[in-house]
Amino acid sequence: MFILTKDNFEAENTGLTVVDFWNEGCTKCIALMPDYEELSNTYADNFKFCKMDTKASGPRFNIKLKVMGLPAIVVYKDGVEVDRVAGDDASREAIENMLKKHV
Amino acid sequence: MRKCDVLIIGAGPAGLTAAIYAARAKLSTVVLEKSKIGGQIVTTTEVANFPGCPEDSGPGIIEKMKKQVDLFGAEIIKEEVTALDLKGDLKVVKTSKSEFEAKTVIYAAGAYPRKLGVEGEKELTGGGVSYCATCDAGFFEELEVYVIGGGNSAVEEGMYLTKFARKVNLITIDPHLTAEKSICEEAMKNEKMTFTYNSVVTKIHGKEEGIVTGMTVKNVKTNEETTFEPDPEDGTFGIFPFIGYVPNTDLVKDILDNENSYIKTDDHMNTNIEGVYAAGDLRVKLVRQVVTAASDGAIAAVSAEKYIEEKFNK
Repeated sequence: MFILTKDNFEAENTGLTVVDFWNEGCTKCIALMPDYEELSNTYADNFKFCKMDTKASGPRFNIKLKVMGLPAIVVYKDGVEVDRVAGDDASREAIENMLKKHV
Repeated sequence: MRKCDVLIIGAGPAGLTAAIYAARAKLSTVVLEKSKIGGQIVTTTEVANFPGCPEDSGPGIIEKMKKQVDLFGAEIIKEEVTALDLKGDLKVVKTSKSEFEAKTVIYAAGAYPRKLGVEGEKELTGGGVSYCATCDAGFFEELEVYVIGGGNSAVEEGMYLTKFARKVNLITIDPHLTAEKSICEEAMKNEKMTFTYNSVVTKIHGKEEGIVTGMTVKNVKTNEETTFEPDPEDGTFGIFPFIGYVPNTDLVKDILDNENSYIKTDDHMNTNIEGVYAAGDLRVKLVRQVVTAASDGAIAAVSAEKYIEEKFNK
């Protein structure tokens, strides 16, 4: 699992990347994390799987990424957002269905 | 086709408690959960009124319940139920991946926050529209936030949001707040809070941008519409609807007796179908709390146990 930060975001977000945005206050994100980790093993050949702590990246950076709510799992292609599941829709099944679309 | 004695749908406090009781009674027990274990309570950071657990949190209480479920040997499977056939002696429950045949079903799928039902809401969930203040308040540090609703949840969550946001404007359809008096009094004293009455949201702007860029509100008395726009320097604001809950009963409301989609049961959690029980927030009842959900779950499991004994083991 690659840890993205505000500083390495641009350089590391290349090819097909999946980012699990989370922070320690988001209990839903923490509940979902084991599922995300399992999916990251299953689809390891297809995507670069990352996590990003939104508390560390700060409000301005989150606005720039248009991530204003958690959980948010976003698929990027060469740094451009192509898909996301967020909020109550973010179930294991919804994440897997999204990943399958971009394999 | 997998067989079990008790199939529980939903792994919130009601479902987990039912699993503890059923598994402890040596019934083969499976719990199906479509998203997160724990249900709505896991987004609550402070739970002060669950007996025996002072100063606990939603996730803390759920973790302990889950430990008991594991200890007694019930299995939790993370799959979403897509279809049910509850009529026969053996109940058939399908998910997208598997099929179960159970002697009894305990329906404990809970409730979810009611949506506004306006244009832009779905697309902007996670882009400025949020139903969970504790999860998302941090995104609105120094920004403006609108809370929709005037009941206890709306006013309490609104006050919580003032710890982060520059300003919290509460918009309610009623001519006054409907929250408990003590909560309202505290909110009125909060300098960061403002109140707009007799008003409903009709549209959320920003679908194309992927982030909230405005919101149109209609005064229900005058029918006058106003569009709120964010401070140009902010570029966006938050929208937190707290307008009540909807029971998660779409799959069963045509077959189980209900009142406004809430399932009707007797004191033993029996529904109108033999061997099918309901427990937790989706039931017709007065108090929807962790403690009453757990109570429902325990009763449903014991009812299921008695029914299995009578029907299958004699």
